[in-house]
Amino acid sequence: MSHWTHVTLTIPAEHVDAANRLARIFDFDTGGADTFGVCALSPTGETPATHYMANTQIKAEYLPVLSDPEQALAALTALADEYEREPPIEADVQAWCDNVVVGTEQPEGLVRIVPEVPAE
Amino acid sequence: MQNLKTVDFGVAFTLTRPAPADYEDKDGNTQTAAANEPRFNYSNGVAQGLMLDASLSETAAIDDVPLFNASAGHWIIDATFDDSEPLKGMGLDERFDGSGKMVVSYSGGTAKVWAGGQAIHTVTSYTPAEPTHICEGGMATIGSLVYKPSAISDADAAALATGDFEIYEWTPAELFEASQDGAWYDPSDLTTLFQDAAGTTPVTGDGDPVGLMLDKSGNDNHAAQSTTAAKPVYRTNGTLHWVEFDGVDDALTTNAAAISGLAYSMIAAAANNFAENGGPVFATSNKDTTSAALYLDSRSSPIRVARVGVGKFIDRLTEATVNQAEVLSVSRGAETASAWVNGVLQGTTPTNDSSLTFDDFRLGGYGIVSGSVDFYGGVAVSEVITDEARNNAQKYFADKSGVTLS
Repeated sequence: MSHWTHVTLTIPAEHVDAANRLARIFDFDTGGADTFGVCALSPTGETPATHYMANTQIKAEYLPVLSDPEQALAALTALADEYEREPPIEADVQAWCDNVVVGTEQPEGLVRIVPEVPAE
Repeated sequence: MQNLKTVDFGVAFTLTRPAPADYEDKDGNTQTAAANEPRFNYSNGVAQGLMLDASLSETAAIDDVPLFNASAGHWIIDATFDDSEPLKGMGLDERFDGSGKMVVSYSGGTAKVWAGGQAIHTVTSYTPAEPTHICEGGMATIGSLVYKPSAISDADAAALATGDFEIYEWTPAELFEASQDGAWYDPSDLTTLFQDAAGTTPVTGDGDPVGLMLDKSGNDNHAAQSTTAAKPVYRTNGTLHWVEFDGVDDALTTNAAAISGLAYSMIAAAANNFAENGGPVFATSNKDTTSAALYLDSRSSPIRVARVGVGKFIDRLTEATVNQAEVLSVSRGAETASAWVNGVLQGTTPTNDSSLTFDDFRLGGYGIVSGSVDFYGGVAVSEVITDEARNNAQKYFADKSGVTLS
């Protein structure tokens, strides 16, 4: 049985860089630095983006860690050591935990910025 | 014993038995067969048998089976089959490969195909029906064909069936036999799925992320994603297997163009997994405007099934139903392009436009357009495939996705 579970993570646009630095550590694969940036959100669905969202699989044991600064810093430090990556910046961890919205769906009040029809 | 009396070979042959048969061979020459010659021998002294090539539209219709017994009977076929269905119309519904003597028996609501001394195919709840053709599809050489309107015991059928046959199973690998460019992805083959883009951690169960899906075409156009948040997820219900793209940011991408030119065919089975949209299943680049694409689209009007040129779309006839798999097909040639949904032609459009981009190959999204798509498998090949190949591919992917073709 898979130990993966689904989670939706939404972060304000001003913290995207910090979020991607942490995602680079957290992602077991090599592309974590690009986690936030593709799916842009705003209250109206129009630019500019106020938030970015990632819809991802995550190992279930990490769910409690996502919004607890102390646990997050410890987990990310351990993962950085395991994956031989730069350790987390404490301010990034604090910014993440203070601002991330953890759920299973797109947060209410935010609309995806997408083309109305397939691009031509 | 009552042998088949009249067989009408359509445009190729007219052969009458039991009298000595004068018939026209496939070259238009009149041949005279002696009574003791093989029934379908059109080349005196060579005994080649009746050769039928479905790709050349060669058929052998059976107008009537005299004394057809609707309760029990059996056929004895001496033939070579290459992807051909014997006795089309009687309800066997399988194609076979092999050669030698095959026996087809039916009685008591069951039909059996015998070869190599054993039953190799059984149709239960069988209703006897006269075949409409000696065979259909692929290549066949018929040495002789006999019908007897009487039951045959299993032991006798097994003893008579000395040929070596097996049920033919078409796979997309046949589209690449001449080393055509392209790609073939099969989520039901877990040996081709990995959680990481490097291919070190295999996918083993429902819910695992898919970071790499290997290409089975032999072209090494493996599709990868190294950002876990953008990876689709492997799903299975125990019978069917699919890769679920979330419509947010998921996509798998090859390193190079999987198809290389303006003539191509794409076939895929997919379902729109979200009420508000579907999205791209295949695309040939990350360009929003110039990639060739196969869509599963239900969010706009008109509703697209394929882009075959800049601003050139083929629209589908009806909207896709959420969570209902479909088999999508598109073939683009130098002059026209056509698209099908579940085997039904959706439209044909001129393709007098050569501006398409083939940078790489993408599954589930391109540009900022992501697909809410359950992908059950698909193939892309750099040529316009034959109708028969497309039908085979559509059936193959229909089986992979639980779809019934129209």
